[in-house]
Amino acid sequence: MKRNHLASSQVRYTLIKFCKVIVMTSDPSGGGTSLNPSPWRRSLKTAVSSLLMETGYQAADCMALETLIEMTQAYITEAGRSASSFAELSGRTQVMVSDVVMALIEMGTDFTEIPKHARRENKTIFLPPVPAAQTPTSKILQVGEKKKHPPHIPDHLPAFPDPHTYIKTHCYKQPANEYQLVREKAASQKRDVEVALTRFIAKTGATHSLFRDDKSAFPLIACKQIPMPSLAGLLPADSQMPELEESDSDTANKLRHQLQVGQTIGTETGIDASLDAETIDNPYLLPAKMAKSKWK
Amino acid sequence: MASAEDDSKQQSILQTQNSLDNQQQSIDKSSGVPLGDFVLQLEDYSPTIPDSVTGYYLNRAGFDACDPRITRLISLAAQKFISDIANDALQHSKMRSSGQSVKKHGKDKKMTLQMEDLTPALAEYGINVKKPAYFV
Repeated sequence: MKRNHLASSQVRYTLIKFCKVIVMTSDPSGGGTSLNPSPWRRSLKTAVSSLLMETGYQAADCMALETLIEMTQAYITEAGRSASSFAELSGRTQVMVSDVVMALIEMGTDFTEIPKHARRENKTIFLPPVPAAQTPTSKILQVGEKKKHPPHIPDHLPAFPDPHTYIKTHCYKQPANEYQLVREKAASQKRDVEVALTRFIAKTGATHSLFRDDKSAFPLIACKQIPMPSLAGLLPADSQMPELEESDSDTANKLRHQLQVGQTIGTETGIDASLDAETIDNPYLLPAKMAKSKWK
Repeated sequence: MASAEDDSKQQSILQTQNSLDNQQQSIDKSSGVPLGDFVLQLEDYSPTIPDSVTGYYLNRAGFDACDPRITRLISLAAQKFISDIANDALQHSKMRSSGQSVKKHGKDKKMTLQMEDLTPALAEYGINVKKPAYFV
């Protein structure tokens, strides 16, 4: 008695309500919670409700109705999965009646009763609701176009992801392999390097301008003035000086004097000679050796 | 087996199987009619569960339905399953109400599917449900 009282206070749905057309929303999930059911779930609710009405019920507990809807969904899913497995077992991709029969037998259904059930008198049919226009998913994060399915893939399977996630395209240019282009490129690079270097030295060092008026038009790198340029070839190295001092000759005195003069005026003549002769291995770099005078 | 079979070929295979069944058990021959005949009749039939709904759930299971008749066959099987359970639950509720006195006779005309009828009906099928009676 108490139980019936409790049951009467629960929410009851009058099943006639569910035979009306249901408006669909754009919820794609098949299951969903009871608070926000997907359109397919609601169609199943209508169908199960109409089946209960044919059986003779006028109302149903929401919990019992949800149980039956869940069982229907599970039954259809399991039948589909099992039937496609049987088809694949036989090496087919399209499912045939025999596969469906085998799947139903696996689930314990008496398939010979199905025609009897189909021919029942009080069957109710309702029109499935028309799917409303779905709002497309926002394309903010989508880059590029998704690839279409190849013809052997059915359309109800998910689409390909964005192409940049799995297609690799090289981002470097193929280098030029032709001899002519490479030669031209090498020559132009060499010329550019020379021009840049001379400009740099002209801008940072001493310049000699060609035109009197315009000092910066064509700057030339200034030559360093060397007084008596032929002196560098005639003079021996500084390391040879002790040998010359031993021989008491006029030519040695003259040379020494000239060397001293040259040292005061020229700045670069003695740079190479300042190197010690003993550390130079290269015979071509050794300073010139003067013949010893034999005038004694 | 890999090539596509005609309905007639499949029908003959099912018929040979069913003839063996008939030899073993004395089943009326009409109940052993292969479903091939019945599937041909499904061309114009509309089951209670719409084709699009069944097709959606079959697609989620990996079933590629090229023939709508096969979809209708599965939806009919599901309908029959639910109808059988509902009938069993109705029997349980009638047994329950027949034990009660006549003072609830007026209200008995309105049959309500309740969990206390559904649970024993499902238990006969091997499905054990344990739902809470109320939300805590």
